[in-house]
Amino acid sequence: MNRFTYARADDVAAAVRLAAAANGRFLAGGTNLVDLMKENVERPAAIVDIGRLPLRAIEPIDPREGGGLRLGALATNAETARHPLVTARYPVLASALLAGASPQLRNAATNGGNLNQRTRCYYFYDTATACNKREPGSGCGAIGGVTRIHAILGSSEACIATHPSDMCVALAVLDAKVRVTGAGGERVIPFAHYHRLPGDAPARDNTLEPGELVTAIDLPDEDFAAHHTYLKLRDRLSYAFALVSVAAVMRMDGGRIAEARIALGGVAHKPWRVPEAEAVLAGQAPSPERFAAAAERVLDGAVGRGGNDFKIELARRAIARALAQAAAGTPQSQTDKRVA
Amino acid sequence: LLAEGVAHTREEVREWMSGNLCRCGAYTNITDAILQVMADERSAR
Repeated sequence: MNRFTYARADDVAAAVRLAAAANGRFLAGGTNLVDLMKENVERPAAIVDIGRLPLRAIEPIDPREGGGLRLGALATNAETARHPLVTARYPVLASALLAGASPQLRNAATNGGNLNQRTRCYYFYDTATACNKREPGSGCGAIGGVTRIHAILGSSEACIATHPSDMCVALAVLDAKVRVTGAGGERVIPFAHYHRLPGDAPARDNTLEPGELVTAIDLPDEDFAAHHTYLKLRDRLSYAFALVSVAAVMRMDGGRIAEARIALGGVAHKPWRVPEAEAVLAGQAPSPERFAAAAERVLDGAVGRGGNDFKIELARRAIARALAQAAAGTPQSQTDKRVA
Repeated sequence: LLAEGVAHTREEVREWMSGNLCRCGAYTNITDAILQVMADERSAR
């Protein structure tokens, strides 16, 4: 590990100022950043500890501001997953959180940190190999290498890494907004624009400007509680990242689907949503044929790299299954792992 | 695990133990022990 300076911020303004002055990295739960520093993947010169900032509340948003629920950036994944307003109004988020990591990690990991966690690509972690995300311009060790966990959608010749989060897949279908504060003040980023595709700049995971701090995640006042599921498929039934995961939510109206939303995890550099695929379901009665047609549309343009070819068919089937679970109102259990 | 009240069945106990180290050889017995304490506490009430 490299030497670094350490400073603790007492308020958001101080955190932003400290980070800007020293080109620092924010430290919250530390479940990802500390690992990366130990492996020499991240070598920040300065750490700004934001653990004591007052950003831990989970509270309703004033109806005059549109209502919904505000999740503090420093609320832990564990307290978010068990919060009564989350389990009652946004159960797909609680489910995705419980599908991720382990109880100990969820107790430490924060919501803001979950958004900003880095890929678990083996080549990103191995400093002996080329990686454009870790060392821009050095090449991609994954292309032509072992690609079991890599992207099938939206990748580039510079990077085929995936975003590892479960939480973010649920936030994508919920149309969350990310509140951030930087030297230039506060701004709000729609979730679809928060994470980015690698293109020719894979070092950037998201659209945050240097020094910007995530302060909260806003969930709109929408009701998908009756029809939702988070279906996660992985090499081990617990404590493993998704090979493919699906968040699906619906609103039903008299036996027909009024609105459906689908997001995929484990397949791209960001949670993957295809509005045209969701439109295939709007106004239709639920049926296996419709679900298969929507799944086909989501996988439009999918490309395997050898070791991950299986993900294309796996994702197709997982989407169809998740849509059936959501339509029936029988969400996937995160403890009984049998897929019904 | 017991104090938080999140685990009631064998599947739930196994899931909430996940991520602990040093359980590879003994975890079925640990699960049995947790379920036994849970049953004892229930019958003592």
